[in-house]
Amino acid sequence: MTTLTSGLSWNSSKKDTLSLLLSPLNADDLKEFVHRCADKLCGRKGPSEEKFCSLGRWNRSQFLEANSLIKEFLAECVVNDYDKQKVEERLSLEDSQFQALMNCLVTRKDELQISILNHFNNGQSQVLRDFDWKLKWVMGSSSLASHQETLLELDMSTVKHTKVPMNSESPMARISVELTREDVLTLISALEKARDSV
Amino acid sequence: MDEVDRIIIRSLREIGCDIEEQIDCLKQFSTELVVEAAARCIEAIQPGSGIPTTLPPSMSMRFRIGAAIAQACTDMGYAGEVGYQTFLYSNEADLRRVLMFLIERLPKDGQTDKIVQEPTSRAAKLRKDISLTITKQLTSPWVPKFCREDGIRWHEDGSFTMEGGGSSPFVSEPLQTGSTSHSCTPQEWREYCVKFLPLVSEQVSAANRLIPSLITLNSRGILAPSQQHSPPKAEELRKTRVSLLQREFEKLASQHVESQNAFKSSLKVNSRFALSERLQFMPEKSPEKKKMVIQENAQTDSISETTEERQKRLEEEEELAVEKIKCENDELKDRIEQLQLDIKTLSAKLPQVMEERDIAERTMKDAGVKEALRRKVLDLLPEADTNITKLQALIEASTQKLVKLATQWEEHRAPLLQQYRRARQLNSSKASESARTAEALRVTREKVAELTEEVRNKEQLHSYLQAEYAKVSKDNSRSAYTRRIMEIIGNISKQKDEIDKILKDTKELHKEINSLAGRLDRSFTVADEVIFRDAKRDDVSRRAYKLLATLHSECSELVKMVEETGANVRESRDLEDQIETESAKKVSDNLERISADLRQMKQETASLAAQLKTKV
Repeated sequence: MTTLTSGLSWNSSKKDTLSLLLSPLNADDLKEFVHRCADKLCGRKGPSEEKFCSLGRWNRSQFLEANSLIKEFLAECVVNDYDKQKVEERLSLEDSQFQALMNCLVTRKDELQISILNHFNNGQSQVLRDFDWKLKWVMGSSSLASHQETLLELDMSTVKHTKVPMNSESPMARISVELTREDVLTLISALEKARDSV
Repeated sequence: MDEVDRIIIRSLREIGCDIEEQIDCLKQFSTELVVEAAARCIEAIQPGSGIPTTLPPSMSMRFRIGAAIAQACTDMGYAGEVGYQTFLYSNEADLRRVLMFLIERLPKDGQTDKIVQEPTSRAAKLRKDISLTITKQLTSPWVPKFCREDGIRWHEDGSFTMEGGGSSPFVSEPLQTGSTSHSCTPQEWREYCVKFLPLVSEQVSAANRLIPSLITLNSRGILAPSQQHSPPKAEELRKTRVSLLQREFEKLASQHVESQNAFKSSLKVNSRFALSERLQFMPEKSPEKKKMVIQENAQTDSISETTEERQKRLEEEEELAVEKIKCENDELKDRIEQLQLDIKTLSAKLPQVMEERDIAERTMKDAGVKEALRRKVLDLLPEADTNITKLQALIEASTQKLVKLATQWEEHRAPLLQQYRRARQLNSSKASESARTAEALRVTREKVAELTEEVRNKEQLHSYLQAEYAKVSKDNSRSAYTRRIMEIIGNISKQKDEIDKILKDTKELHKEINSLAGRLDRSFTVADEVIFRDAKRDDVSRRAYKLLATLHSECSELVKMVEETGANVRESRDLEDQIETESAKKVSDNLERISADLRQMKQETASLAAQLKTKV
């Protein structure tokens, strides 16, 4: 939520800090930095702290601030579907800085839209992100000497998106279950039913 | 005793005592050496006994160590008398007895055992670690999967092992591979891909996420064409975004009400106002757009009304034609199928028919031959008799010719047959010879193989024995010892023989003495009786008798004296022996040392007392 509110109340002090923060970077480095921030929004590796701290002569807190400001701004632009003019209204940046931002926005818009939409669509619930499975052959148990049964171990990685999707890592959780053959069939049929109803 | 000492010293050197080269008997042992030897023996017999091998300067500590060693000896079952004095003020005989007892108790292969127990190389250590870990894992009970996170299992002693594999979780991240985008020009997209798109391996935030991400990307790519849910288009996105923004606004509004209760912030009002304004504006915009589109569609419809009718007719006609062609197609298909079926049945019949033809041809040929014969016979029939005689003559001539040929054949055949037989015999003899040689060859080969095997075995044995010999030759003192032992045994048996001889001599002497004493007794009683009878009548005889009696008593006294001297001599020899043994015990030396130690102890006590006093 703060993303939106802060984006909406994008005040002059923030504009100034951003412009000032980005000033040590040359055009190419700035473009790279903005792209890496967009990568982070898309759920990949963000900008490397070591690299950009040396390029921009930043300390850690400055780096984090620049990072979060860019991300907030990108998110705001994508959510509100700003065109070039509107972006210009909201930002008082140097020409090269503005160019870098616009360039990133134009090229990465689709990707960013999809990923931000995923964040919002899933709301506050746990969402399955990945699953992994192993097949096990159970030889016996404490009560049965020779049991001989197959078990499917299903590991599901779920993610719960935070209220502030752009700035902090969403917490991951792992759900691990062991299913017999019948259980697997039940699960698959339930999932198919759910898909058909959607 | 020399040999025993040497054996003792060698054994002591083997267990690690630092005995100098020039020491070769127990007499030369210093007190320190004695204590070290005893302590090392006890350590080798009972590892962990904790007796120090060097003597401390303090007297009381020395006594304590001596007492400890003595206690250990008695604990091990030493029967003789043993105390601290045995080690601290040693005499040779006692020391020898104690050391022999201890060396007998030494573990037989002490040194080799030690080498095996200590893992020296790295590989051995690793092997040991592996076996330890495996035994630990095998002995520890099974735990369910959720008790070992990421495949790591913690043991009670704080160590951990990997179990169940698959330690890193399957977590993927969306990768960008540079597929074309919709929202920008191809040039811009190209520039981004070339300049700013990192390699796939650098896109992920952790190395263990790369493979899951790639798998996910791949399966998405496989699923994408078949799935109905293609990536959302711009239009779709816009729609969802509107609803999304509405939802967001509701949440924001509720939050705002809450925050209003707490404190009124102009910033929040501003933000809410701006948002609501835009939200009111945006949903209105999109229905308008849609309406416009619908209207446009309607206009185009009215314009193209007439053309549509024409088109409809054309379409109907086309459909009819298509129907017809379809029907024809079906018929043709049916026919093709039927024809194919016919071909199959006919081709099945073909071989049978061919066979029948072959049979017919053969019968025809036979019939042709028969017919030619019959025609010849019919030609000959008109002049039957002449022809018959002619034929008979012909037959006779041919038989004669045959006989002639047979005799000729026989003439040729007999020598050839003989030659053949001879050749065959020769051949068979040669074959048998070759078989024999082959057999011999085989036998020799087997023998060779056997011999090589034997040679190899022998060589192995030789190398093994050489190795054994090399091992043994290091310990060459053993053979020396056995030789010496054999010599000693020989000496002992020789001595035994001598002793036996002496014993026999003494026995003989005893016997002789006894017989002489008996004879003496008897002759004396005879002489006594004779002279006593005469003594009653004769005065000279009486004197002779008296002299005889005194002679007898004197002689017996003499004999007694001789016996006594012998006894005394024996006693004195015994005493001399005793003196020797006592002098060997170095009593005076030991006494001096003991008194010196006592003095030292007194000094120590005095100094301690003084210290105590100064402290008090």
